[in-house]
Amino acid sequence: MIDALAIVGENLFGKSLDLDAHLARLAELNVAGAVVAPARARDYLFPPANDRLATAVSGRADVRWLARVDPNQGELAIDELRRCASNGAAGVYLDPGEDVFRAIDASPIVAAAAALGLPIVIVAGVPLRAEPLQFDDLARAVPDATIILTSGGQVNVSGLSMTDAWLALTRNPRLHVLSNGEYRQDYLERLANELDPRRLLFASMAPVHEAGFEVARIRSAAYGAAERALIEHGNAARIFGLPKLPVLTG
Amino acid sequence: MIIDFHTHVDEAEAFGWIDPPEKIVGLLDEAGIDKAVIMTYTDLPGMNAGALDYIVRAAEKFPGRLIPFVRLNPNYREQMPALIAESVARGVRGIKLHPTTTLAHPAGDATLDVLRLAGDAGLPVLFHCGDDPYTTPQTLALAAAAAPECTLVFGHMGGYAHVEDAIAAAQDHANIVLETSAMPYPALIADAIERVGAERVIFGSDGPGCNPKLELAKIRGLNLSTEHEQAVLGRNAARLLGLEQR
Repeated sequence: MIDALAIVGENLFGKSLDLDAHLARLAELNVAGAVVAPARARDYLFPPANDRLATAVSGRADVRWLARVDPNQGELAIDELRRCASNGAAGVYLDPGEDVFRAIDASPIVAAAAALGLPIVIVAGVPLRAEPLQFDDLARAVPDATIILTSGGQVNVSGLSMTDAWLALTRNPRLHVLSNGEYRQDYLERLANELDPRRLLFASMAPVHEAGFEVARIRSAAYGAAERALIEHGNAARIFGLPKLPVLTG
Repeated sequence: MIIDFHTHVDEAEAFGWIDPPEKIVGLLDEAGIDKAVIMTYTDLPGMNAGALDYIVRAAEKFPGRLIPFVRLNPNYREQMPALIAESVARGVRGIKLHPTTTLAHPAGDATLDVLRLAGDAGLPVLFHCGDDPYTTPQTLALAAAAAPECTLVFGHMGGYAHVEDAIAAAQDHANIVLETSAMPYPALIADAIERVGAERVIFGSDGPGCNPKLELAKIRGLNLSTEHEQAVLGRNAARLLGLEQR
């Protein structure tokens, strides 16, 4: 299994997650690979956070890292993405909630990532800024980008946003979603069984969500063996360039 | 005894939601859950004039296993007293309110009428409690304050971004019970038990859309004391439903 997203390092906005502690927890859960992105630290600066993460994972074939940039910074953000790409970043991570931008405002950075051949992981379900049909706009604005939305593409415990998320996914074949925090098992199952199993990736999004429960969530969903292999590791390996790996040792 | 306090049974073709009672019973069997509270997806009256008949008959198919709640739209204000009386006469043990679908404000006069009737009849009221307007813990707390004789169960205990608020509301109002379904942060259930007591936290799954087995694992993974786990998984529900504990 590969955990396709965790947010590590000192976190201005909430719980901080140490990279080694996260990898040790994944090893306990028989999760063999990880993709990690930096939290926004108290100094508010992404370039040093990106560099710390790049250093922390260097030499590890079982962990890939995502560069974090703030689209509000315009060309500076694009320059930072290019710098990180040359330093081994496997993609870019954007958070419209913490960094305060609308999904469509990320178009320049998403286009830059697509030009570099990098996937874009974006936090979804942020009211006013990052609801499912706002991602539909973004995906249509940059149709060649591989965009991966957290939490099934939406956050809404009355289930109403799932309709819009489904619509966005059916209209945009390069939109993907992560499984973290998605409370409806039938939705997670439908994504793979009726839409496309290549577009759903297991992720914990620790520390926002608890890794053990998120692993249980995806392992308890009803998938065939081929679909499960894609969701649990094949898609992440393909998109983020992770090899098939033994269990992490922490 | 394990009681799931929040499941759905309905055949609402207009919405494509076809979940007959056999579907939830199969999932309860798989999870090892003894009993479940069932309710429709559609509100009575209005969308589904036959909702009471349907839910009562669904429960009668599995006597002692499925416990019917009637899902009401308080905006049909004049019809509420008779509907609640008929529901009680037909074995209904509680009321479900979903302000997102009814657009009845939880602290508005129409809803407060229902809560007072429920309080008089000894029926708990399960509210959808999430992140949307009309469903947040802050809004529902206004109803709890206005109808202290009624037990309000906060389904999903605040959803995603309002869980801390739901716990705080329960600290402020003794007639609030927190129900665990769908809410994706297991550690906050343990926090709720610590802050409001195990007797006011109650297990629910929101099945069949949510898997009861996974939702049950969410509680068991907390490694609660036996006393607390039994309270959350069954004893509190039995008390609210007027069932004798096995």
